[in-house]
Amino acid sequence: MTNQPAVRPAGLGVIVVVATAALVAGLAVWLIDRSGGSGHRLPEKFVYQIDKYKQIDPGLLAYEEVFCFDSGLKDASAVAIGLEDRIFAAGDRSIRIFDSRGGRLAAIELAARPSCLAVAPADHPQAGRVFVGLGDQIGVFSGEGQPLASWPPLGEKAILTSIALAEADVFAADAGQARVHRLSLEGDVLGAIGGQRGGRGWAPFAVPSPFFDVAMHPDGWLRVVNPGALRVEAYSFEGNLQLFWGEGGARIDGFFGCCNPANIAVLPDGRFVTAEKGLVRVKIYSADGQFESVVAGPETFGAAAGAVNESLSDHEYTAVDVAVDGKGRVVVLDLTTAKIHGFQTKAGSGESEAADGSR
Amino acid sequence: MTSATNRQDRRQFLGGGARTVGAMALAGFSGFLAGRSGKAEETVWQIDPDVCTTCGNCATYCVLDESAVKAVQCFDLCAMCDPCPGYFDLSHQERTTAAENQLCPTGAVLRTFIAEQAGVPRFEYYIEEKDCIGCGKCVEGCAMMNGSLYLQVRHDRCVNCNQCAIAIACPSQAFRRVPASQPYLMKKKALAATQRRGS
Ligand code: SF4
Ligand code: SF4
Ligand code: SF4
Repeated sequence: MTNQPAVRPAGLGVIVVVATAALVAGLAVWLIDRSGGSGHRLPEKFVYQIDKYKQIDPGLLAYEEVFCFDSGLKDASAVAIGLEDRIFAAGDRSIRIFDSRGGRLAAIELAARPSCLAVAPADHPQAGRVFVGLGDQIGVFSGEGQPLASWPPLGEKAILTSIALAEADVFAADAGQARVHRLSLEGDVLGAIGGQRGGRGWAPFAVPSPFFDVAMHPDGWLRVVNPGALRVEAYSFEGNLQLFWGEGGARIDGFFGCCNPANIAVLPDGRFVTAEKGLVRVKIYSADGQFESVVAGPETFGAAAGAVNESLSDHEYTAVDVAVDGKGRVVVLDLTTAKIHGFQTKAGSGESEAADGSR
Repeated sequence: MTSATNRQDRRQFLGGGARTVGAMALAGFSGFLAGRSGKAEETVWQIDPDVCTTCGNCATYCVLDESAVKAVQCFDLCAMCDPCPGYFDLSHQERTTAAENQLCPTGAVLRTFIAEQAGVPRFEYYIEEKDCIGCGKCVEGCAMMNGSLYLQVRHDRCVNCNQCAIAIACPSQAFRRVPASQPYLMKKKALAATQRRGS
């Protein structure tokens, strides 16, 4: 047997290299989904699992929607209930007044964007008057929309976000200065809660975003949401803290995120309606702060309430405002869609009767 | 035992390797093009943060093994909250820095106590870029509230592919070319906050 050197045809190596390269290239093209159509393929731990918190246990939903209509506002900001259960929706540069079937009854034109409002209830000395937050000051209107007064600005940095009415006092929450102003019905400043360390009525309100709500409670104490602390706090008119409740958390009995609830309302029996922003949930808590039930969850409100494929800027400040009418119905203004929703208890029992005017 | 996870790991590994090769080739090609482009202003890829939906594709479609996209913080917008939804996992039990309480799976969001203001503790949240894979999970959490975190193509990493693989895979068309002299796009809100501070 003769030993002969192996002879390879010239160029075979090149062919092998080129064929291998072509195969690798083909495989790479096949492996890489360039269209993004097959999703991000990230392990589950990299996925923000908000969806499961958006699902509300049907057993907790104690309310059903009984009306829904469009306010027609482009930039909705607040809702309140007036005499005869009229619905006052504020936004743009106006207040629109509706009946609960969505019939438009009247409108009040304003010089500036309204940021909050309250209507004096039937048992109030100024029944029917409308108090409107206009940036840094309060405007007062008759129920028919006649301007009655324009109170002086409450400070250079004032951003009014909520108004609550007591028999002889007006409380205005100011997110810009993290304090609650106390005024007389004529607009004289009587004092403040929060904002100045060490002073009388000092309280540490943490207000990271322009949602800072107040409401009067039938027990006579003012309720102030301390949003950064994720709590509802009760104060005497002099600013002394009486009690607080609320815990943070995405679970159904907690308040979601860094600063919630965004808005509250008080049922005539002293229970609370709370509305969270971000993860929009409208819920009922007992008078001492125990979670009871859900009025409506994120699925009910604007498409931007955490929905995918919406731009992120649409997600931000997704919030609703809440009020309670004389039939115990919860009225919700969706600030994203400007729609007004009405909910009543599923049993229709009307367990919450006459509204007290506090928002 | 062959599991779906094993298959996925291998697939990701192969995909990653192929991407690196592709990146080098594309980078070379874009350099070639740039050389021929004469006086036209050079452009680079950037994400419009007001359009991005944090779909997750930025983490996995970049041709680089480790995405050139990272989360960034706009400090002017951040409310420095204690219960930060961009830092804490949705199911966190305690507000501590323990790994199980953190939203970021790689621990890339750092939380530092700054001061107490009006009796409330304030924290700074900072992205450790070397640990961030650009998944956008923290951005989504933050967007539920203040929205100070957002995703950005980092130009110390991006090789400026002629055809950015993420741009093609982006479902919201958030990727666009911007002048290389101004390679970063801020959120409109962030820009306004920064301008307010400057004025
Ligand atoms: S984008 Fe993902 S990896 Fe990066 S910091 Fe945020 S959660 Fe962590
Ligand atoms: S151009 Fe796109 S794919 Fe290429 S490195 Fe930059 S971010 Fe990644
Ligand atoms: S692929 Fe587009 S939408 Fe998805 S995270 Fe990246 S920039 Fe945002």
